Amino acid sequence: MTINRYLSRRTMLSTGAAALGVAALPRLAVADYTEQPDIAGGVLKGKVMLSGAPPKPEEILISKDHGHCGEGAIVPDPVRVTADGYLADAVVALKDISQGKPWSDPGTVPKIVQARCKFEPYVQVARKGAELTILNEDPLLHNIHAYELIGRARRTMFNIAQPQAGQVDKHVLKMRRGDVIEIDCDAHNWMSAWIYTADHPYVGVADSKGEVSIDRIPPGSYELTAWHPVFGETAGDVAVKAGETSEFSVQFKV
Amino acid sequence: MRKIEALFAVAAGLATVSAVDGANAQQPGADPALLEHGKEIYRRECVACHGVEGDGAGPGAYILSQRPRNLQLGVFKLRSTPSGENPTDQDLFEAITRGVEGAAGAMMPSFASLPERDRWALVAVVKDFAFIEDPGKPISVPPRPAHADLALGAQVYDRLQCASCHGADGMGDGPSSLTLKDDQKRRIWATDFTDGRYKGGAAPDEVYTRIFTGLDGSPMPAYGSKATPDELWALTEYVLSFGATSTDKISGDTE
Ligand code: HEC
Ligand code: HEC
Repeated sequence: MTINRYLSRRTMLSTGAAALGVAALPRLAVADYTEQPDIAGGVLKGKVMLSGAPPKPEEILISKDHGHCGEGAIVPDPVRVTADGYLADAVVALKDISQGKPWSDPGTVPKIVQARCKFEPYVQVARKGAELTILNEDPLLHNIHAYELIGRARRTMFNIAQPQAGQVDKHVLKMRRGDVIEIDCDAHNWMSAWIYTADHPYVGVADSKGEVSIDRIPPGSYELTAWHPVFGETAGDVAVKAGETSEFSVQFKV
Repeated sequence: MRKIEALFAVAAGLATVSAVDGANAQQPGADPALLEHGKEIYRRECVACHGVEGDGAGPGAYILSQRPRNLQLGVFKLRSTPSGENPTDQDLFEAITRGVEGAAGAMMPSFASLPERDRWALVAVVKDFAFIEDPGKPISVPPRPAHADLALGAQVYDRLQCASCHGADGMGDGPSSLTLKDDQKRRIWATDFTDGRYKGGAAPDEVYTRIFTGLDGSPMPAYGSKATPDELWALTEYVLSFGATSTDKISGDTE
């Protein structure tokens, strides 16, 4: 399988309606995953890094609802990187695992909250086909608009209005071919969130120190991918041994 | 023409797969001969805008202010089904028959002059491009009340904050309207209701349906679960009333 290295969000989206390269392929069925409750396996511990100067953040002016949303400008897709180059919010995932630990943590019940005109969390992982819970805590209209990214195209998955505080909607995350869901609010164009969907629970989101750890992995060699909302996807190889912790590092280059 | 033939050979293969899915007799996708027939008409009538591969990048696409749909993405605005669901065959048939003309102008001509069988054949082609194997289930639209409750409609318009995009006077100039983009990141405008033209037609139950299901691929969200049927009918009447004075297109003979 080929991977688009360093495919940035900008590249993904700027081509707009440009064709889907693989359009003539039939839709993939959701891969089967068998849970093995007693698996011990090995652990992968990694660090995600950014080399080179982070791009100039794209700011959007808060143009309405100042009472609840605040004043000034907001960066919808922030690059959170420490002074020594560790990058938060990247999703690290193993490729092609058909059996292993049960889906419990992370992402059994994905949930997204709209509070003070921001989505929370910014990046999360979810099982493909899971039901997403959507909550509006603000006393004003948000519309949660989810898109599946497929290659360079993006397709609306659903777009639901939540005009009042306390409203809850649920929507099943049915993916056609992609892994990544982009979430916007058309009423507040600075709001942005991302959901990375997977068939198996061997995925994790890098924390504010760029650290991510995945446990109970069946021993073996794997391809590992790392994806970030701004920098796109990169990949590498890792090996996992039973009862051991193996370390890896991923670097996004700008 | 070689390229077209090869492409359609692949598409035909897929159609056979979906037929196995047990589609009912009404669905034109189940009939390979109809699909073949549809491809001929598609090549004649639709390629200029939607492109040979249905990707919306036909040679004439660039002249349109709102681009022809990339049919491969399987995202449709004019559905009778909830947001995120596939359209029904009837929805596609009606879009092809009616064409797409809204307050922002004409986007796609009406194909009502084609024989009915040809239009159903085109439905099969669209479903084939869009990988639609399981058409969605339509929402139910209760009968239009005899009395249009415009006062209630105005309240609901306010509560659901339609004005944030469509403006307090329905002219499409609400505070959010300046930043709206469609799914292809192209600029799009909230409909100016005073124009009286609707992409899905100005018939009241069509407008009710658009508010209920939203227009997927555009910023217009689904409101179906946020108001009662009575409220949605009052809202529909209120929306239609913006256009009643400036055009004769609406037959507002409920009262
Ligand atoms: C003049 C250009 C043009 C031609 C010719 C044309 N279309 Fe379209 N079509 C469009 C545009 C533009 C849109 C998108 C409208 C929008 O997004 O509001 C569209 C949208 C559609 C849709 C989506 C409707 C929805 O619910 O969102 C379908 C289905 C469709 N066209 C089918 C066809 C078929 C079948 C033909 C040939 C019989 C055809 N079109 C010919 C321009 C065209
Ligand atoms: C986030 C912005 C937004 C909000 C909020 C919004 N709309 Fe829309 N609406 C749009 C846009 C954009 C379009 C145009 C879509 C297109 O042309 O493809 C639209 C189109 C429509 C249409 C036209 C459908 C057609 O057939 O042409 C109707 C009717 C409508 N909206 C009603 C409403 C009502 C009623 C509300 C409140 C309950 C509302 N809208 C709230 C953005 C919005």
